[in-house]
Amino acid sequence: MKVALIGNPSVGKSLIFNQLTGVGVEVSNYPGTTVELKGGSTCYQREMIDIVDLPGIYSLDGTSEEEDLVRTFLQEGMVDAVIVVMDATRLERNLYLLLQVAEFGIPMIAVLNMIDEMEKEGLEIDTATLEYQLGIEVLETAASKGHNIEKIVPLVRSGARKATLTIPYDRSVEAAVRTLEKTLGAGRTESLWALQGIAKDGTVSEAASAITEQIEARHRMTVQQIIAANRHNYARTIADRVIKTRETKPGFDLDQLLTSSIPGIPILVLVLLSTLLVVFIVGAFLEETIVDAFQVILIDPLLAFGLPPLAETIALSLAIALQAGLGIAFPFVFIFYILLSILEDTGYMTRAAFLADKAMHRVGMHGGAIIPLVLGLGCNVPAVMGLRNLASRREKIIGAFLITMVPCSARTVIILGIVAAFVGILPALTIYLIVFLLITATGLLLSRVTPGEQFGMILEMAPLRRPQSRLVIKKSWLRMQEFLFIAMPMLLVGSIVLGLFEYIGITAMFEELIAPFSEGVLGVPPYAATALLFGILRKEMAFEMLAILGGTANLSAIMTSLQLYIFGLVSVLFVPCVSTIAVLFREMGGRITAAVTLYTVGLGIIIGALINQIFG
Amino acid sequence: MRLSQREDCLEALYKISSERNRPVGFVELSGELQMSDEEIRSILDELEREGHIARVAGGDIMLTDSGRQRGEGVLRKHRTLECFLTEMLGMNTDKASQEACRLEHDVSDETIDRLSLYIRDSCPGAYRWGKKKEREPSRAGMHSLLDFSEGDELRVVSMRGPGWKRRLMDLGIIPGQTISLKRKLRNQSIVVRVKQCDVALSPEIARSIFVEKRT
Repeated sequence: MKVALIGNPSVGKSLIFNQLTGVGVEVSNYPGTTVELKGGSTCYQREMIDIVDLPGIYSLDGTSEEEDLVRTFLQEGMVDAVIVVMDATRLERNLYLLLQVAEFGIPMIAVLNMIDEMEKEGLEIDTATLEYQLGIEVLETAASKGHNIEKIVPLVRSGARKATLTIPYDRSVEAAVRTLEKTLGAGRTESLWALQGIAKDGTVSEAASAITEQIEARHRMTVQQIIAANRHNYARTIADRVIKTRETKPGFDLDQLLTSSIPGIPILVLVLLSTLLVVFIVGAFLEETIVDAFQVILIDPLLAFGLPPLAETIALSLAIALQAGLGIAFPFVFIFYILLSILEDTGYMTRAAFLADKAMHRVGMHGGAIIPLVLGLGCNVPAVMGLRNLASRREKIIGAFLITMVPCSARTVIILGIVAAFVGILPALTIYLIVFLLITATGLLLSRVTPGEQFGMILEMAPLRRPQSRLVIKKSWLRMQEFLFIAMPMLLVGSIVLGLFEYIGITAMFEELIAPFSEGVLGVPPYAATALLFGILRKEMAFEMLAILGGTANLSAIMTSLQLYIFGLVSVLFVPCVSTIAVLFREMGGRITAAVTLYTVGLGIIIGALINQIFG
Repeated sequence: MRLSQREDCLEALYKISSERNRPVGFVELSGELQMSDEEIRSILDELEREGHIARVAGGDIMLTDSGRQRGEGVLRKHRTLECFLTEMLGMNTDKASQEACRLEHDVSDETIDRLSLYIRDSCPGAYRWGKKKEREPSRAGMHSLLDFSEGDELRVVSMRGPGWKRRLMDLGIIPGQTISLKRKLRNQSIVVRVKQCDVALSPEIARSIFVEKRT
């Protein structure tokens, strides 16, 4: 038996899916983070039940990627039953989607989730009446507490049935449906799709479009609008019959504080800064511990072992890659993801998006785009993948440029390890300032020259919740795995290639070629330029290579403060790493990837050269 | 070519004379048109022969009734097309004006009638072009979400802007729906509460939702 979970964004669908299947799936309190279909299975009474977690959507009639995907999925009859998950505190809006699902005529049950929060809000839902109104079984659950989750599979196994409800549409719509049914033999649901211009069948669509015109001329409203209004009205009728509100005292309104200009914006700045600070302080401490441990346990014994030169080069490259990768991944990326998950699960991210909306407009995007940008501080790779959620190509293009300029945790390592350690904390902070200014300037410029229309933000605010540590850790760990699986293999291979280059002498040749340029333009020694170049493989490798090529970890002994500063700044700006380029290519295509790469290279060299000119 | 130039000429004459309420001088007219003086002169002669215009003392030009009708018709087509291109299709104003200049000569009256019926609710400028801009803050008695303040209980009257309408509809923001304005920042970003949910909207979207106060 195959069943699908369907529901609005952030109703706890993914959480239920996790508990049903035990498969790790990312749960998110931010609308629209589950884009791909996720499947898993569970055993019930010796029968295999396949469960699909469909992306969170508001409607089945829209044209967005997710809506299209879910509609096609249901149209093709790929499941035996559907579980509609609803947020009990937002029943009316959730019923709107349920009504649409019901029209597909697939056996279904409804899960009324977040029943615990509903009680807190002083609402009561008469489940028996709701069952009667919809003609299907309704189960009350509280997924965050695991309440009643075990009853879902048995219920869908035995109790799923087609809903008996019929939505009363406007007379003209009903007449059109009858006409299409009579003349072309189209079903009711298909006729409704055709009237809204989303049917698969060509002849029905054609016939419908003629009728649509007539209806629209008469009503001065689009058919979509009429149908949506009818459904909303029906949802309201049902909701009114089943919801009882108890009087509750209006409590302290935290939202009031978070979403006003004052103190909302200072709080936002504080939250972002303290997130970065925690990552810096805790990350730097942990990184040192991990790197030292690797040195003692792996690298020193390896060197002492005395392998033949080629084997030693390869083994050492691998060991260094592991050391650096884990040294970054756990301290910086993981801690950042934990903090980010907390921000998402509390619902704060949507408030941040709201507050930042106007500022983001200036750089050609809207508030929603702040999520991938912040994500980019951890690792650019998942951030670029997050661009999918932006509505227009224009925003995606601007986003691609800006995200690749956001200093990810690997670049944080460079800033900390080179500039903060050998030049000073204040210069390190100026690098952030310069990068921030450049991002803003790039955004201002791109918002002017990028073609395409701008969509504003329409964002449902996630309710404020207390995050649960178990869920936060789980989600961060899943994101972390994504990082490990995409970045780590690349890192290991890159490191070996690098070791081999060094071994056969390509590195030395390159240095000779680059020498006039690096000394003349950037004012850094040629081996620093080599190090920069290898930074393309992995950003923080620029740092390690500098130490290796320079022959000492005490960088201030071989380069001046200015040289170190320029090196740090250029490697932060210069070219996204290979993994980012790969994911950019996948999401945005070759032209944008090439443009982003060239732009960042140019920017890095120009800014580096400028600073060398001014201060050198 | 000839026809479109003549129409342009009548349009310009109508525009200038209705703005200033007096006969139009040759220099005023040629400033409005992108044609050489010879061309304009020969077109004026033609128009005079056909009885669309009359010269008054001093060589100033006056529209006759038939000329006024033709000029008004062309200008109306121009305004309607321009309005449709900018407001509905989001084209920039200069481009839309040029485009409208070309289209106005070929488009039929019926098309213009239907087009203006289609946009009347959302683009009152098409009918009130005589007066200078007085669109903000109220458009023909319509108030957008941005005209209200925090805490107001409102009812949606209409929406415009095809791009995001669908998502608004699915979130329950449809004509007739009651909503409350929960938060309004000084920079015009707003949060509305609709069907127990808070929805954050950018200023340009809030501006496209017309509402009235609930009584």
